[in-house]
Amino acid sequence: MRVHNIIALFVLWCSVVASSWSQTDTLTLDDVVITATKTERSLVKVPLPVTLISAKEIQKIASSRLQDILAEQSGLIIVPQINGLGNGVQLQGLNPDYTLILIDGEPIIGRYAGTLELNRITVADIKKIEIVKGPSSSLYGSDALAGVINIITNKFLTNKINVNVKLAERKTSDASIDLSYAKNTFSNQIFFNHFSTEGYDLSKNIYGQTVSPYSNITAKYKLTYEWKRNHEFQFSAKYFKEKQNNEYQVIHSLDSIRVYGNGYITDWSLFPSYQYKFTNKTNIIARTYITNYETKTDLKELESKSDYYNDEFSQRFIRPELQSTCNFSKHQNWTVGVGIVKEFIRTNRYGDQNQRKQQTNYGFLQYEWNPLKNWNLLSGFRYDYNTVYKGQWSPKIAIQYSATKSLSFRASFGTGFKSPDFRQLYLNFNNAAAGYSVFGTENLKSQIEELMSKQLIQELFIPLQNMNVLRPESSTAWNGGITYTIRKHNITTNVFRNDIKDLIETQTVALATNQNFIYSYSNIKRALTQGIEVNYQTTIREKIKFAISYQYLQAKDKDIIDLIKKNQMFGRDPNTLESYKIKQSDYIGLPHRSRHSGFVKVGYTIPKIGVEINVRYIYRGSFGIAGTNGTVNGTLINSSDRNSNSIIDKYDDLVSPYGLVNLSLSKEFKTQWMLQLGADNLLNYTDPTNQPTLIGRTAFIKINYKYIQNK
Amino acid sequence: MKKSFFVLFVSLLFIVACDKTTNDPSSTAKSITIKDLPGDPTTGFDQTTGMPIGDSKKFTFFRFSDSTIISNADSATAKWDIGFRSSTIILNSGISGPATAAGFIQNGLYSEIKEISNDSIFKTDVSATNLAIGKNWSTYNAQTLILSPTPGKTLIIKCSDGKYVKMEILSYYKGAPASPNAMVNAARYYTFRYTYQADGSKKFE
Repeated sequence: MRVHNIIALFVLWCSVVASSWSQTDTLTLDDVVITATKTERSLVKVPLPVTLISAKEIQKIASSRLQDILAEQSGLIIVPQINGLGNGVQLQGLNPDYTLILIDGEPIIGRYAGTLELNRITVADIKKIEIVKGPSSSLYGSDALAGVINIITNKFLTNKINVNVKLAERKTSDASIDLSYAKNTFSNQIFFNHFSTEGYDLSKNIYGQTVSPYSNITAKYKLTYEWKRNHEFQFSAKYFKEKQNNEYQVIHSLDSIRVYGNGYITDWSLFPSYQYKFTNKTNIIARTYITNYETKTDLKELESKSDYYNDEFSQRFIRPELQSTCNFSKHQNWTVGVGIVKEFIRTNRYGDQNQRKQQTNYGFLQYEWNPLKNWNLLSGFRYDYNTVYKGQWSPKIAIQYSATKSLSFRASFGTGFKSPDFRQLYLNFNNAAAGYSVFGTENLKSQIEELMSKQLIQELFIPLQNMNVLRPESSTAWNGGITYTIRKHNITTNVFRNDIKDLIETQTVALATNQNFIYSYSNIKRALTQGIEVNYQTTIREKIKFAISYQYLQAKDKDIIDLIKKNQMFGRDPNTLESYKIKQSDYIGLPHRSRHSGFVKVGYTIPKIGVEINVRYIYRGSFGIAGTNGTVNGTLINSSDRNSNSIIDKYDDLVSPYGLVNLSLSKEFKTQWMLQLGADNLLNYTDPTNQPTLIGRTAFIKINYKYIQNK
Repeated sequence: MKKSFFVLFVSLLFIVACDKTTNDPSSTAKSITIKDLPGDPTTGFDQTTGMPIGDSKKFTFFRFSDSTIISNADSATAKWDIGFRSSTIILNSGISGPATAAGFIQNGLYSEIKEISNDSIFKTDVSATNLAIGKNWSTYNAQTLILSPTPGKTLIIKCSDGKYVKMEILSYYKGAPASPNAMVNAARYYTFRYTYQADGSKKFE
């Protein structure tokens, strides 16, 4: 019913739009961003903190996977996944699961324990990357709590060949070809990428490698067809397949078991979209995104050859969406959208092979207004209605004021949310060896009732009527900043504060008669992150480019702050063994948050030989590691805790600050060829116990050939 | 002042050294530290089931008034106040024993607890999952397999003789190492400090 109403409203909207299509306007050829407003807008006029990474910047550091380029951006920090396998990106102090990652505006699915493996994504066909900081659920719904990273792929309207081959240490190779064939307004694009690496080993005395060898392919096809100048049809398809050759040891109780076997990831997507432009600024877009992600892992014990672990997981995501932008007058823009998300999951982790599904219906409205020449107002909201957690409102308001041509101020307020994931809702996990079970909240009540009827529950820690549905995790956030540009100097700052509530944590629910504990999930934690980001960049005599970035961050658990306030937080001196009180100033905060971080980048072009040198120093201040980080391929990850209180405070053993130096040299030949040499992590900084996902020095060579047919 | 003595611990059939130290001689109630009191230690783990082996499944009983380990033969008497086995602590009351011992855990520094407030609720051992103290004094890390006494947890106990005790558990590992390692250090050895107020009052000054 709800869906029909939304569609009816949309049809009504379209007729309004159609009546206002007589106006025309010209677009400026500035840096344009799409992610902040879901419509193309000049970067300098967006009242939100947005970073734009150009294809040129991606190319000059010779990056090949998404992590390479994100690792060198202001305010982004690469952190290991909770389980230690692979990396994710931390934005404004929030964990990787709270940043939405999109390709051409559509989400990449297949997050492992919430984190998206950044090395899955090739950057060889990227036109630009846009990063919007601050919650963006008012346009994107769930997961856009910390911000949005939107990867925008190439769209060529010429005949073009682009070939990249990169060879690096540890038998790492990344090769891609991007071909486009265009005739008039009809263009076809084929992209193919192959990546393979033998992995690496930071702890030679431990059986198996830190990261096992893996290889993957990415194949893409994109078709664009424009007719009568105002119709545009686009279709893109993607296929990805990865194979991992695992061989490592796992710690099981007090034993270590050597295991081996293959892991596979298959991921595909289809994305047709149609746009009709009434004018340059008034349009309607209909699109449907269908994507599928599957993993399969079979591990066997090395000695006995018996099955150790089998895991199968498949996820499908389907989203039809209608969006329309309209300018009723020169200074007012409206954007409206409606859509449906259907998600399906099937996995043996949920105790059976039944399919679990969720549906979200949503609609959003956005209003942009320039009341005066130098004032920009952006406001909007989105409403999501989900089958599990029901309704969720996400408002946003932002304002920008340009005091002079070189000085502008902006401020924004917004909310974000992250819906409970399938694991939290449907997990049905029973580890008899370790003596515990975990039930997702949707299964919990029935499972407990069944166990109770069989007299298998000894004690219930929370009453049955309190075993409620999970609410989404949600946040409210403020961002404010200044941009100042004078001659060749540019300074931008952003101050942020995020208040996050209803964070989902595991909770002990019951004790079974066999003395096993039963766990589930609950909205219990609250946290805050706040800080400031400052960026400065300049060009000296056209030859030297200099950029510096700094972020100060505080990220804390609000419940710990309250306990300290009530004098209820203690530590134990490891030498005297006596307890002492923790003061507010002793509390450092959440794990993996560096109070200080930043970078310095210098680019210099040697005049006569035309070689461009790019050196980047990426700094990360000290941070703590939680004790529950687990094991990586059998190696126990350190815990910073030295005073037995499970929080990170000044008495703990923090990971020391470190810096990574990345170097690349580029030389262009005849505008068609480019040769690059360099090394990532030049100083070979590694820290196997604290940061097993930090890879050592990697020297590389990269060749790029491009041919563009002039028309 | 430091003296050592030996106690024959009948149920475990081995000899254990207890080291008793007294500090703060100026106050009437003295703080005493007991080192490495065995709480039914194991000799290892069964390789297939992972279950502990070599333990007697019996509690070690202790009396605060004279810092003495009480024989298991006296389990049904009021001679003992507190019992230790693995990470479980029982008091001589309810399902655990015939006496009227009781207690609770207070969040607060041992040294700063100068008096037991009159509105404190003393709990007894009601059932195996509802013990006055139980395992609530400790935090277990499933990754490092280390059990550590939670900082700031002070045990307030009313002994079988009606006198009051404040107590802090300092370590669960033999020799009370600064950073215990589950593969190296033997568990189930309690090091703790306590103050026994012999005058029957709730004051520890």
